[in-house]
Amino acid sequence: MTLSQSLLPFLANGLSLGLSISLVALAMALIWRTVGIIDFGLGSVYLAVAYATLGLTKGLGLGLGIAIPGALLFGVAVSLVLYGAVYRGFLRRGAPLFVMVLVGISVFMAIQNLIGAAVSPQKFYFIDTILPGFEVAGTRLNVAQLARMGVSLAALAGVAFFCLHTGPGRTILAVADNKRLAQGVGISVDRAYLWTYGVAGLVVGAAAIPDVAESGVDPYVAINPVFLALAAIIIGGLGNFRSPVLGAVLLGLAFHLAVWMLPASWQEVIAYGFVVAILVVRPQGLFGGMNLVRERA
Amino acid sequence: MLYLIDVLTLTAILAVAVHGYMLIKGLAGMLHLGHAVFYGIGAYAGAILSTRLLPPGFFPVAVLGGAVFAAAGALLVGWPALQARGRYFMIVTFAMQLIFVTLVINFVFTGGPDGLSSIPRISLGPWQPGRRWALALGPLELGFAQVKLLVMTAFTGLSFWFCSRIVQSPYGRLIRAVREDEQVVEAYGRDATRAKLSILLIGAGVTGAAGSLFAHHFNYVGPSQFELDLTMLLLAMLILGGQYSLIGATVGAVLMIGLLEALRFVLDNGLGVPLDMTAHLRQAAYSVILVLILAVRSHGLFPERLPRLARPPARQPAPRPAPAPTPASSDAVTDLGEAVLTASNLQKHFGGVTAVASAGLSLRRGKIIAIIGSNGAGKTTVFNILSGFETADGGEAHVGRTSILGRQAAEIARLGVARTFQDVRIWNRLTVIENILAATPYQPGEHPARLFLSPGRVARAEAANVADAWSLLERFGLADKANHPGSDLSYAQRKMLALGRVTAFNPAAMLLDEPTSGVDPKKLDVFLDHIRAFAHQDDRAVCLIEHNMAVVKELADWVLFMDEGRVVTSGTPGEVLGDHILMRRYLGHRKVATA
Amino acid sequence: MTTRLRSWGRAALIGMAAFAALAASIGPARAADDLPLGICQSTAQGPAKFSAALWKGAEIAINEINAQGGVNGRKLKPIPVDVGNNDPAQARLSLNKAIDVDKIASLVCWGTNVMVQNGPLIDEADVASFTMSSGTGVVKASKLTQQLEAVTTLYCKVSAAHIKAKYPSVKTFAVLYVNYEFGIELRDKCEEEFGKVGIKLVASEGHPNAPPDLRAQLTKLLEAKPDAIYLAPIGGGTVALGIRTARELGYAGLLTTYGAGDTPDIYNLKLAEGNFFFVSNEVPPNAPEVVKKATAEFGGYTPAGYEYIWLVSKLIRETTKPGEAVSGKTLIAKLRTERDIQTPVNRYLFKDDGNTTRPLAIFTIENGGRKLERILSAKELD
Repeated sequence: MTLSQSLLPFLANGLSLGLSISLVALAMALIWRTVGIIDFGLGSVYLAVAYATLGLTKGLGLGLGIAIPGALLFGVAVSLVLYGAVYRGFLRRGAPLFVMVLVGISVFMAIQNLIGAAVSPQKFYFIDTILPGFEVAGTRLNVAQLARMGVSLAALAGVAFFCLHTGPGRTILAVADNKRLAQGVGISVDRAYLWTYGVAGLVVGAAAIPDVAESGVDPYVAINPVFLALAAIIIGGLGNFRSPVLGAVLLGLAFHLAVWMLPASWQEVIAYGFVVAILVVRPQGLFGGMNLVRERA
Repeated sequence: MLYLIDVLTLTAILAVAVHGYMLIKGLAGMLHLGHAVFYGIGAYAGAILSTRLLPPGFFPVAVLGGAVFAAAGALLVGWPALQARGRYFMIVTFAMQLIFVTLVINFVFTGGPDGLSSIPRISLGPWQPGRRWALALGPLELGFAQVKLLVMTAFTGLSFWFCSRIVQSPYGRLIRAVREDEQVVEAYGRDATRAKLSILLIGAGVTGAAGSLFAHHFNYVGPSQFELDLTMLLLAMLILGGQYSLIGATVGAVLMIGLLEALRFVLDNGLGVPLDMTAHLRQAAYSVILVLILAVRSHGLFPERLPRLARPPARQPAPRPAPAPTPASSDAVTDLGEAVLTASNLQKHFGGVTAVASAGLSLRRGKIIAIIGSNGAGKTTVFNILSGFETADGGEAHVGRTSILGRQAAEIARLGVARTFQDVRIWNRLTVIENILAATPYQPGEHPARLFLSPGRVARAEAANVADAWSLLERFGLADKANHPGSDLSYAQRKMLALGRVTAFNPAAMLLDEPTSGVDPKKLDVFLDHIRAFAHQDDRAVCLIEHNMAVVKELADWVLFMDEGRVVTSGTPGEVLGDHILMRRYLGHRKVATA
Repeated sequence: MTTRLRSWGRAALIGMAAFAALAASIGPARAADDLPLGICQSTAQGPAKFSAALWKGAEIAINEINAQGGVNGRKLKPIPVDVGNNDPAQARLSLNKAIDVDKIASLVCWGTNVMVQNGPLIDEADVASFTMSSGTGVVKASKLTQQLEAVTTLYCKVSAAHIKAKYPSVKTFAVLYVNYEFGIELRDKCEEEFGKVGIKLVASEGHPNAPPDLRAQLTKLLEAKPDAIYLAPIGGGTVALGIRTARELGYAGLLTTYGAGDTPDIYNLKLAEGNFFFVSNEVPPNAPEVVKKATAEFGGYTPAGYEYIWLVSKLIRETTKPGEAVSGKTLIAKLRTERDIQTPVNRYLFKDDGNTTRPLAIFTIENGGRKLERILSAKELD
């Protein structure tokens, strides 16, 4: 097999993994830029959507056509509730960044463990068969992967359009840019945050459903996506909406190319090593713009 | 009861790790999400030393080894991270945390995924107890586990003492000043990045020692023990107890472990919860309680304890402050009236905007020069260039014969040029007297090595500095606020403190940026007297930026008028302020207040 | 000054409350005539799944035995021992509590590192322990620990023999293993055992503990064109992912795995219904109905919990008089002397070195459940 022949499947799969990470990265980036915090609590939304899809399909026997929108709506609701019930109180009192990070992680862990206790740690699938797919670039990409790729690009375009061309979206950008000034011209910061969390919840849900269609639902499925999303943001930066997405793609490629080059047990070392290298050499991210906007540590 | 002893032993070890965290996060204000990595490096280093390199009986050396390797790890991580001005420090340490476990799993010398077993127990030379070893003390018999607990508690005490010495020393004061405002620390001649790196190394070292203690307590280290949840646990302990207090750090460790164990009991025995769920519920409950604690009391239980420095007994009338030293350059100018600081043709552009087009000045001992001009004329930018806070795009500046353009702020300060800031910028969480002390130049106690190697010299220097600081506070009328935190002061008092602080530094040249702005006109005279004294009594070269023409008229020997980045005209106050055309252009049609 | 007093006061109050909770819970928590038996619990991704199954089985046995009056007049009480993320240090804390405070008479646990590092503690506490860990080093670390699970060598031997008999065209195989000591051991032992029957290892790749994605590894394995692929993860979800990914990438060959893959998510996986078998623990037709039903619902580790309780109860009844303290040494000695024991579910051979030959069975998946292909009794395997 020629070099390129054996390389192509890894490139294709790496791209697919990257685009799957990119959705969560986009959501995390949106919150980071607007609210100024790194929110690991998004993992809770991921889990909520995953289990909602499971419940609607296997539990209630509904078809995917109803279950998917239902689960997405549930995800948005969960995201808004978490903001209103937990984060808002802390943000209003000007809690420092590390407290917010701790709160986010704690909420995520609490929900993960509550699900483990109340539902079960078992893994469940709502799609039992092979997903239909296509032969592409020497490997086979199934509809979940293709859906993911399509959804990420659509989400990217959608979020960009929303922020640049709609009223609520523009308030998000204004608050992200300069909160005080935005307040000064009468923008409700709380409303902007609500929109942010809602959109982020939707995007995370869109990431979760294709993921768990393939790899099943259990309480631990959200850990990887969330941490990889952060890694993607580190690599890509926060300069504009494209940056974290590009960072995610690079990260996905790094994961797969690492296996192509070396024994697979070095996969994580290479990929995370890449992250560290970026941090050392270009801390604002490859495409710039990453800084701790609200450094209230 | 073995269980209780085991819990207490682990608590004692974790408390040491939290001490290290307190130094990095609480004392130095560096947000750091990879603390378990330092702990892990120390644990692995201690394990490898004890199992492969050291002969039996060398447990204390292994502990020290753990500290050294953890500090080396911190250097590796900290040096690039802090170069980027520390903003990305949190992210770097977080990435380090994520990678650490993966790295350790893949290396053979760390035992791979299995970790390292059969680590020898605690020992000291010939005393190498086995598990069944017991110490008979009269009627009492102490088992090995109990003795180990005592040993670990002793280490906790040692760590507490060591960290207290650091916190309460001039070095600790410097670190806190860096935490409050590191740019101002640089303005007073200290390298903030090096200070942060040094405390990072010390904190990591303490934590690494804790890791090595753990390795010898548990006799096994494995990669899964040093993951993000341990960092979160340590952070939670620190926050719960109060991140600015060592007592808080220790109490936090005790309370958190107590909480976790109490949860275990409550869930297993008390609540009638289905037993196969208890492990998950315990984690969930711990997370929820943590959020509640953060909501209710995110400052922790113990606040920062600011030192109360006593006024030394009055031995003699307050000594006059030493006359300004000559600038520390090789071609020192010693003649009265010679230029201390000269600059010419300074230029600075920000993007397309020219802030300074051409500016120059010459500061002489005993003379006060005032720079006036409308906002945006480039006055503060000139100060920033001269003090090293901005780089110049052109021109020259010298202290004596030494060129200062392009040097770091701390270097320029050490050459004898000090400045105040338009927005005051005192160190809020240092006490008033600490603000003075932190600016005082001669402090051997600011070097951590000297703190422990020559404690006598450090103590003597500190006592002398404290005495001088009190005198200075009396001179500036702030003595009764000496032990109050800087944040307690009124605006005018802060401006006064800023003057006191720059005096404490004893520079040859003082650049005062709007020293009287916002001060109640009734209190103005005091300020004027002080500034005049700087030049006439202390023999310093003084340059001030002022908007208040009355002040300029009172104080200045020479006035420079800047407009749009240039020194448009200069002369005596009478000449410049008397130039009505100029003044009208500057102030509009109002008459110049000369009263 | 007052703020400091308030802080001290607050700290003291919280401390006192914590210890009050502790003290209160220690006291009347356990009636004096209970017989506490320790059962581990995991919150780690893989083990959490079979931990749940094991608990269900144990609870069934406990309810049955208690309904008949308990053991020596004492009611059985399960004591959870939380090993966290399979963390030996956390396990030791929980174990200490279980031993000191709850006074467990026996233990069932897993996790190679957990068991190995706490072996001496178990011995010192004189607690009879059973393990579900397949690592060969576990019983070497403790004199009072007996395997309930087949070790890696045995799994590989059985798989190899079955392939040789039923799939003679298989000449090469590859291994996809979790990058932990356990997975590496399985890979090495299988290379040996398969080699003995003439099947060559042509490729192997490792994966992290809970991989989201196995495409990279499987793509690489498939390049070597193996006739069979042995999946060796830590249980819980990864086997299913491996099967799906392999089939999606176009692999049509044989897939096989060991017992930790025996969980309900595989039963329901249509993709597992062709060219796939696993070696696990069987529930024979004469086993109690309730156990058979629970196994179908919760997975192959359910009977293990049931049998643990049954074995311990039997041993205590036969060696310990009512009112006498339970000694682990006595229990294990009786177990190993009697050696050939038939529980309501299985027939075991308990050896003196702690290893156990236990019946294994070969299963395929059919119609949403396990289908028994063959049972190999302990005698056959010995």
